[in-house]
Amino acid sequence: MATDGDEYKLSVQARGVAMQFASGQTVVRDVDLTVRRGELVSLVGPSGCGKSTLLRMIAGLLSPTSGKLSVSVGSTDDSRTAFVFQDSNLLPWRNVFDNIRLPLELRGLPMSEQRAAAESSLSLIGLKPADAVKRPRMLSGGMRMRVSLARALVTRPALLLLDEPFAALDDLLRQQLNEELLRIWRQQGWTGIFVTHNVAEAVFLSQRVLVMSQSPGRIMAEIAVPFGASREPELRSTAEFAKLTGEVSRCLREVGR
Amino acid sequence: MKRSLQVILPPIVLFAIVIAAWHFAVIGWEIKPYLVPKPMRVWETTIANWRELLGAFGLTAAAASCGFLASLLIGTVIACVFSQSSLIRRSCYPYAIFWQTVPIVAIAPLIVVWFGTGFHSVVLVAFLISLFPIITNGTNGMIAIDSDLLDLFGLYRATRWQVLWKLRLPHSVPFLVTGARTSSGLSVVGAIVGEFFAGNLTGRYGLGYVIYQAQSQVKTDRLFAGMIFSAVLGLAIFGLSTVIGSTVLNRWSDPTGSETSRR
Repeated sequence: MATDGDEYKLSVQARGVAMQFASGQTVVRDVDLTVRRGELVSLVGPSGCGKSTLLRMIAGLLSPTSGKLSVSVGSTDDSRTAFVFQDSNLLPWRNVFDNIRLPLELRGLPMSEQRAAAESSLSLIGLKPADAVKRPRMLSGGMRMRVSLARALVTRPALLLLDEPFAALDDLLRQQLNEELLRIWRQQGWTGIFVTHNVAEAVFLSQRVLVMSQSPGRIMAEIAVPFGASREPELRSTAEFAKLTGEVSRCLREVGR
Repeated sequence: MKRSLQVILPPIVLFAIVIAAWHFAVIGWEIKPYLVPKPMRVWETTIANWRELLGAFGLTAAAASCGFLASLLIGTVIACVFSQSSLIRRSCYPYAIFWQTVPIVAIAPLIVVWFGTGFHSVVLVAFLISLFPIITNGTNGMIAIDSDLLDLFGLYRATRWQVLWKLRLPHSVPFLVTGARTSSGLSVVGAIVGEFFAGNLTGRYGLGYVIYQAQSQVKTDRLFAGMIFSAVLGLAIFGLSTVIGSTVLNRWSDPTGSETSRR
C-alpha cells in the first residue's frame, strides 16, 4: 500500500514526454518529471529550451506527441489548474475587478460568488479596493502582474503554473513579488511549477530546481533546496544561498555547452 | 487666446485669398458664368435656395447615416462569422476584395433596375460602399488576438460563444472605430452617387439629385452650391464619427474618460 500512498501524493508525472511541432522541430525530448502535491518546483534552462512548451503541456494547452503525462490535481474537476503568463495578459477593456473575476465568469458562477472570490483574491495579492476600478492601462508593470496573479488565484487552483511571470520587472520588484508569492503558497498550499531563467529567483522560491538542457530540452539535473518553507528576504545574502545559486548556475553552464 | 488665433487665422486668410483670386480670375479672363460663376453669384444662389438646399442636405445626410449604420451593424456581424473559421475567411475573402474593387458607380444602375428609384435604393448604395472597411477592419480585430489570451480562455474552458462575445468582439473595438471612420466618409460618397441614379423622387430629393439636375440644366452656380453643401456634409459626418470614435475608445480602455487629469 506504500505505492498507493505515493500515488496519492503525486501531482504531476511525466515519463518520456516529447513534443514535436508540425514543422518537424523537436522542442522537448524524453522529459521525466515528478512534482509532488504541495511542492513548489522551479524549472530553469537556456532560453528556447522548451520550458514554456513543457508548462503548456502540463496545463493541457498542448498535447505531447509521445510519452505519458498525467496531472492529478486531487479533485473531481480538472479545471483547477491556473496559469500565469509571462505578459500580464489582462483585458484592457475591463477594469481590475472584472479582469480578476473573468475565470469564474467563464465558468458561469453567480455574480455574488464571483464578487466574493475576486475581493478576497484582490486583498490576498495586496491591492487596495480603490485599485479595483482601475483599467490595466493605468497600472504599473508590477501592479499588472499582481492582478494577473490574483486572476490565477481566484479559482483557488490546486496546481499553479507560472511562465516567467516576473521576467519583465526590475530586480527589487521581482524580489518583493517572490516573497509575496511564497507567502501565498504557504497560506494556500497549492502545487506550483515556476519557470524562470533567473537562478536566484528559482532557488529562493522552490524546494527543488530542475535544470533543462538546450533544445530539444530535457531535464538534466535536479538540485534540492534545503531551506524551510518560511524564508526571509535576508536568506538571499547568506553563504548557503550563494552556494546553491552557484551550483545551479554551474549546471546551466554545463548544459548550455 | 493668442494661440487659438494663430491656429484660426492662417486658413481664414488663405480662404480670403482664394475667393479673391477666383473672383478676379473670372473677371480678368472673362470666364463664362456657365463654366465658372463668380463667388458672389454662388453665394446669392445659395442664399436664395437655402431652404431647398437644406432639405436636400437633410435627405442626403439621412441616407448616408442609414447606410453607414447598416454597414456598421451588418459588417460587424459578417466579421464575427469570418472570425469563426479560416475556411470561411479563405472562401469569402477573394470575393470581399473583388467587391471592394468594383466601382460603386458601376453597381448603382443595377440597384435602380432591381429595387427602383427612391430613398431605399440610395441607402443601399451608401450601405454597399461603406460595408467593406467594416468587414476587413472588424475581421482583423477579431483574429489578431495574442495567442496567450486565447490560451487563457482555453484554460478556463471558454465556449466558442464566450470567446467571441468576451474576447474577440471587445478586442475588435479599436479596429472597428478605424473602419467606421473610413466608412462614414464613404457613405456620403455612396449617398450622392446613389442619388445621381436613384434619387429622383417626386417632390423630395437630396444633394446628389440637385447636382445632377444642375449639371443637366447647365446651372453651374447651383452646381457649386450643391458641391459646397456636399462638402459640408462629408466634413460633418467625418467629424462626428471621429468624435464618437474617440469617445468610444476612451471609454473602452479607461473608465473615467479623464485619465490625464487623474495623474
